[in-house]
Amino acid sequence: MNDPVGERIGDNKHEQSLLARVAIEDRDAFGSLFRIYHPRLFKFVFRLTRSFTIADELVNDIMLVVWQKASSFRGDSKVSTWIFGIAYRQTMRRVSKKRLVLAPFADAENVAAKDGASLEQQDWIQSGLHALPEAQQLTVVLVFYLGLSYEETAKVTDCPVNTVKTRMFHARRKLKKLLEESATPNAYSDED
Amino acid sequence: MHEQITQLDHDEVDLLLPWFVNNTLAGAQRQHVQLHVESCTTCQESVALLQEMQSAAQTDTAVPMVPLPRMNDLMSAIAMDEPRQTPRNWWPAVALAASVAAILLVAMLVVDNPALAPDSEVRFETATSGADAALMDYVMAVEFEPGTTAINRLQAFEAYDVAEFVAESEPDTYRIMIRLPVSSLEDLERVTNDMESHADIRSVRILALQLPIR
Repeated sequence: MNDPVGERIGDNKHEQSLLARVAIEDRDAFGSLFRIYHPRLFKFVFRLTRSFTIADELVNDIMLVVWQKASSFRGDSKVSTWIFGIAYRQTMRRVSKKRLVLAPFADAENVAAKDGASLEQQDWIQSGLHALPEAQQLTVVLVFYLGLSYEETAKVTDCPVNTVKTRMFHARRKLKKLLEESATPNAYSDED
Repeated sequence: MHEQITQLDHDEVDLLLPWFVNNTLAGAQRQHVQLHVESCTTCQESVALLQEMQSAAQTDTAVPMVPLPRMNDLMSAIAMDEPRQTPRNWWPAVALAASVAAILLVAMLVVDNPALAPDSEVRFETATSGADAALMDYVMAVEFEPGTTAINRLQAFEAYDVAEFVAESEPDTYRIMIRLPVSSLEDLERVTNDMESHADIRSVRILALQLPIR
């Protein structure tokens, strides 16, 4: 089975040793780290930006920061959490600059307009995920795509654990509402 | 009282369910959630929805093929970045700010006191008139054809280094900040003509330009 979460499970000790070598400017170690993280970072950034070009550029920007900041890694989190924290900040910086273009990808109107019967529940959830506000969408990606714990998610997004839990709660509630609406497409007209 | 504690317990478990589903809860916590879920139909429904969400997040078909890593580009960027920027050298920024403040002060003095103005004709040199043409920021209003989808709008800009989407001033019109290596007005005209020849773009107007600080 295709298991993207499995991709994330790296050998943290190996990655820590690579990062320690990167901190002393070992380019071979950096190359290895880059190859390990490139596909995951690309998919992560693409999910948030929906742009191939931006994702391709951002991965290199993120890894450049990894190179510059490797010596500041203290080992109090997994290497993946640290790198995805950088990825999160770089992506949010870019996304906030391009908010007006990226926002339409949250295709809420289309979700509401589609005929529920014509879509599988999975499709609805996928469309619903894209309709969530950025912060909630990102939290869902971190938790369900990268498989982060709530502490790791809080660290990556640099916000309190309770905020992470609340974002997931609201994301679930919104998706549930969409599913309920899709199951009863005529609910509103019946009421009227 | 007992019911209230049970209710709180349910809410607490409910908040933890996403991490129960993604299998990252620690031993005792996981056990506690597991026991609750087994006896709570509401939580069982929530777990089912969360499993669907996890599956959807993992099988997002919109993700394209991952491009090949651009290792050489990254290494070039690193070579240009040497020596490393830590500790951060903040003196250039302070010096730049001081220079700008000094220039503004002198300009204010000149404006306030015509006697200080030079007798000779003042000649302004634009950033594009020198041989070392730089990247310049233009604020443009780009009007799209009605009904252009968001994806097509994004694709229309992908060929350009759009620094910022400033505002959507009216339906179908975006104000964008775009960075262009323009060395002449002909170059600028060529770029705007290129943009206007795009099927989804109706018109392009330059609203402002921002000179780079040298």
